Amino acid sequence: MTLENTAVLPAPVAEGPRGFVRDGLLIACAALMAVTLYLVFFWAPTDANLGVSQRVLYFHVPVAILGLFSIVVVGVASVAHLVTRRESWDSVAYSAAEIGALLTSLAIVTGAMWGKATWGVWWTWDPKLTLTLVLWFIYVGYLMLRAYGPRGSQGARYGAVVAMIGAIDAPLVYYAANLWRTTHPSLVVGPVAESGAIDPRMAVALVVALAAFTLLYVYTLIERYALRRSEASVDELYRRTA
Amino acid sequence: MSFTDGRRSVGARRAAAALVVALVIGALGATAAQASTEDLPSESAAQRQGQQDGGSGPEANLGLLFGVYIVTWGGFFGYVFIMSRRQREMRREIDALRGIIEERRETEGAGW
Repeated sequence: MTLENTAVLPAPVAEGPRGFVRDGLLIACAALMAVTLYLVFFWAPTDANLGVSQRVLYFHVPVAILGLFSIVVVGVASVAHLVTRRESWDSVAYSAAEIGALLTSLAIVTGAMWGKATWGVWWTWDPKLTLTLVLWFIYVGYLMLRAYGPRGSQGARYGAVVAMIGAIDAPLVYYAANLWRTTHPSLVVGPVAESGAIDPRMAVALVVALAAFTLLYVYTLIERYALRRSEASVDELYRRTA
Repeated sequence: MSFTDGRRSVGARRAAAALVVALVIGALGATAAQASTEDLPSESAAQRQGQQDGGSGPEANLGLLFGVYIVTWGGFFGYVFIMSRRQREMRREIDALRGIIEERRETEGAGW
């Protein structure tokens, strides 16, 4: 190795927001989560038909919605990377994909558990469930492509294509209960949700739960982004020491 | 490069504290939920009775609630734990590699 190669060490990578922002976010998240748990278990009424099992809604719906939202984040960040060629956008896309895969997995598992209790089956080939499974495969495909496919910008470009397919699937999953006749209950949150579909106190608890999980999502995304940048830094240092 | 080890470990401790609080509230909440099933509206009493006859009463649903709770929080905290461990490894690796590079630079500088 020559002196020219080692004279300039890689600049410190931008790790995202500073520590106090992250700590503040984590504290806000924990506080809101505590409020959520109070509302879910002590304040919201028990459903007359489903009983206690209805309280699964407050966990299942937020993770499912954020799983859908995450693929949109992956798609938008991928397009931003293609346009600007900035590595930071690609890091955001990869981080959101990993968290989205986790959230979609949780949505499928918790949904299966709820389905077994209410429908008597773990799984049924219902349009909404099937499209959610397709979304999970898109996430897994994206992560496998990034792990085993071409490195660098070419890998990011291929990943962007997969992310955009996923972003098309997301609205289909959301509107599936309205587009097709499904076993899955109709929408209870969002622009096309039926008004009065659930008790107002249940709706409040659900909205607070969604806000708490959204904060948790943002915190996790920031942490994963920081890790991704550290990984990039290690790759750069290995390249210099080779 | 200045990695904020102290801040991160504080963050990890806070995350652990949040987990404990969440679990305690969850356990209390599940107990409250079980108690609240005894006060369900009268129109669901027959249905509840039917569920109990079928062997899937409120207690079975409570198990489901616990299961979903554990899966959701276990998934999230497991992921954050793996991520923070990987971040520590990355920091150690970066420090070691920077040390190697600095050492080589000094050796080559002394050679001149």
